[in-house]
Amino acid sequence: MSTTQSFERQLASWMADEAATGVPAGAIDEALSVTGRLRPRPRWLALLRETPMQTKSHVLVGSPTRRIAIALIALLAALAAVAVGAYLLNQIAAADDWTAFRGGPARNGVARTGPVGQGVIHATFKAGANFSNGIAIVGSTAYASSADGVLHAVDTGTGNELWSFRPPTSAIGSDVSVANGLAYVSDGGAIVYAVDATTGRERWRSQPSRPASSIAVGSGMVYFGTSDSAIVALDATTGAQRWRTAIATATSPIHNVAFADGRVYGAFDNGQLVALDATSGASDWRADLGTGVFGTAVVADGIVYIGAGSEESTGHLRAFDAATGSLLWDVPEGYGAPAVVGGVAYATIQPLGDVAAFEARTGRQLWHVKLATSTRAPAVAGGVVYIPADSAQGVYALRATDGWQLWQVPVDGHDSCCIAVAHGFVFVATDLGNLYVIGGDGKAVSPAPVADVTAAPTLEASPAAIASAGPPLVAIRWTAKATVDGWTPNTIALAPDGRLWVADPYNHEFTIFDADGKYLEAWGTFGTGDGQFNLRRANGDGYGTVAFAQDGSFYVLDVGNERVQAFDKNRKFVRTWGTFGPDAGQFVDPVGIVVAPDGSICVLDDGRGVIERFDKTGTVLATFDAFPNASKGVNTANALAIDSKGNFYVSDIDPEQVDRFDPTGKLTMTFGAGKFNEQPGAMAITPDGRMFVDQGSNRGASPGVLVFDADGTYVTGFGGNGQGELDLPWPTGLLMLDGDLIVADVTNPGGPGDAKLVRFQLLPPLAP
Amino acid sequence: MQRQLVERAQAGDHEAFSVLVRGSYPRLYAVARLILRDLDRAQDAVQEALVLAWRDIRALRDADAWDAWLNRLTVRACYRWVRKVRRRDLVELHVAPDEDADTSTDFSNAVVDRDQMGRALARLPVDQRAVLVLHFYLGLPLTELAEILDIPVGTAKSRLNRGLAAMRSAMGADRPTALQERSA
Repeated sequence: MSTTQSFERQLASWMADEAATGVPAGAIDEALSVTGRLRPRPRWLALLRETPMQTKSHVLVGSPTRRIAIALIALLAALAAVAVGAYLLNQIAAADDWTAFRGGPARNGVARTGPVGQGVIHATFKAGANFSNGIAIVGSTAYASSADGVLHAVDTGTGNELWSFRPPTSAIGSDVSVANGLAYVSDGGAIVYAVDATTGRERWRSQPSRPASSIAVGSGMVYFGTSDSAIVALDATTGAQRWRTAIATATSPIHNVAFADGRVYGAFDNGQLVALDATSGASDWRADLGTGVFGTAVVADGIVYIGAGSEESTGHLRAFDAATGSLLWDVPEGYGAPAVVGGVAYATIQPLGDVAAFEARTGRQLWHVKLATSTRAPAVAGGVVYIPADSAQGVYALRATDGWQLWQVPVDGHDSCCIAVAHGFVFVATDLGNLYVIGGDGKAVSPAPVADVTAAPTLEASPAAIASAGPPLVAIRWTAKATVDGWTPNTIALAPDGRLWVADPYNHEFTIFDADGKYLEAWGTFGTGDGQFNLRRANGDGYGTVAFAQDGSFYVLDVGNERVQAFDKNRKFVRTWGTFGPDAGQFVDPVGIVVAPDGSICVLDDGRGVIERFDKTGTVLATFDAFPNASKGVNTANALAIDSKGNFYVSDIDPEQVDRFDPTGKLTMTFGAGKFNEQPGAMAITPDGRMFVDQGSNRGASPGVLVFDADGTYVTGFGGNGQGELDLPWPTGLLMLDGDLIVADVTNPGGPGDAKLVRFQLLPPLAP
Repeated sequence: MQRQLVERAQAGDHEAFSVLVRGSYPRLYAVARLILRDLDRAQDAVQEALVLAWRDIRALRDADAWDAWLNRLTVRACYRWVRKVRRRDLVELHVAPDEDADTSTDFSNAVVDRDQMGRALARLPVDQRAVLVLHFYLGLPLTELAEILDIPVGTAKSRLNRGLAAMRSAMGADRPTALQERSA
């Protein structure tokens, strides 16, 4: 008998024994009760929903043509959704739609998904007259007006026209904005039209003033500038005028208005940039740029960007605080409206072919390339910057991290306006009247330096710095690793002797570093006996935390054994308490332990839904509900933290937020809701109450560490999702130490870099 | 008999479905338990699978494939539960035997520590766990489990071998000897 056979037999035997445990009482009845309230789906729908299961000879489950059918149904559903949307006001556009010139009312040029792989022309629509106005994409419909004054609605899948709208008065002369099931345009005269986005039928028209800019839609109103230097708001439903604000200082045509966060922004040719209250039209602030303006104001993350100058070669790209109008930075080059995402602004000097990335907060240039073509304003989606190449007649796709070229697709004419990016496609309208739908071939693309540059790409900051979108928020003091196989750092604790104890749930031990990041030793053994640990639950979850008392004694939350173990300062086992169970002093799913300022030991157990306070002997002193406004139960919280005043912090999973409790267990604040793209995890609190909270790896481009003020206001974030030294793709532990922040991160699982422990110096404005 | 019950259930007869469920539940629950290593999640996963089975029962073209289909739905539900708790699966590891490690531990004469076996299984990626469970617990041949998992037979075989090797390695040293990657 080979050892292999023996092991396999033992495995099978073990599984049989493990599985022999009976079914939980009531489980079957519960399942049948749930299904009894439901009805089977119709066969056609069930066949489409279920992934086919088939043998070589026949299909057992589902439909082999499922994908095709689903695609067709999805198309029909999208059309149906648009039809329904036409009757529902105040609907929010889907996140992947491109609803107006520059993507939407904020004009920030950001889309969620662009083409995957090498760009290829997917469909083409020929209008019969050139396109010179902005495109909108909602669902599978593209909206664009051609120079003959007709608004076209085109099926993006086929390139076929769905409907067209020609105003009865004069030709359409504006970009189109789509919202609330309506497409808003203005003609060359003085009329604004709202057209049913599904049918193309006119719903209302309004003639309040002579529109001279494209329309921004938001808060139930449509906003536009007029040729007599005013900004007007109409009711989006009826077209009735809500307000009209004349800009006395503006004596020239207005550029496209932008709307975001309750304000309307407009820039005038004579250099006036104004911010109006979107509800009343009252002026919030005004800035005098001194020179002409290069087009549209862009709003992103509380910053307004505007390009201005007498000519592009001597112009300026400026950034203003969107709320106050104070100037944040000024790049003395002729860059126009940027696309802004993840704390980086991508912009072009349109006549000169320059493309650059700037830090949104500081204006620091991160990279720069020069294309041998005039350009239009860029768009960005999924880590790719799309540049409409005007004179070169095409579209460039550049990697957002360094400006390297991914692909370039030629089209048949000049792009005399702009591009749109939505639902995995780039849309380009040319002066020859063709609307191109560019998709991706799904294959891997090898980035390369821009092929037709007149100067080599200049990488002026690391991709990591770009991705982190935060420098100079932090600077690295040191980076450390433990020489332990499979080291997986998790929570961090500070011992009174200044050493850092980092839990390693993979190895069921603690790795110990000095304050300079020197790895010293690993301590702990796996097991169930006294002084042994199981830092993982049976299903493989990795947890386990240690908390120190002032005298150097410490307490290990032995999660896999559902107990707390107490040790003296010499690491000698003292006692243990806790067993699995739902009662006081027991644990179901303990996830965090802290030592309070009064020396008591507090444990968060999301399974029981409580924080429980113990004395040094394990006697329960108090218990309180840790989930008064969040789901409780196994796997509903990730961590427990405590500040110097004894306030508790719990990172909730459902919803993703953080709750703060005073030492008596009273909920005093909930913060972070809507700010996390992943589950919040470890937390660290400064003496003045500023809070650092990490989030996991599946967060896209958002930062790994989020920073909140003491009142819960989100401040900023740092730590990109890349592989650079400043990046924190999967932060798992945080600790404040003498004004610095120490972060444990598993970085690049299995790849270069691997896990790390980083001590960050916090720079202004984060510096204590 | 089962075929008739399936056909009646497809016609909307919930009583027939109930009979089928009562016959299948212990097997599905055991599979989910072994894959997820968690009683509550296993119960949730099975319930999720059964809801899908009832809702989409008319997708079943061959009533004789009922058991295989339920197995598939359960394994998929387990995958979804693993993804739901990805944060906590932070340290779930893909392990492979170290080329230099001693893998000749004689399990034929040893009484394998049952907890050790559980830990070794828990350390595997969920897709390897699923293959091992379907093969060693349900006794399914590779071709059949490949159909259930919707993967090529070669992939199933690879996962089986890698899973076994990793378990042996973990059992031999009570810790994996080589780290390849972590999975979310």
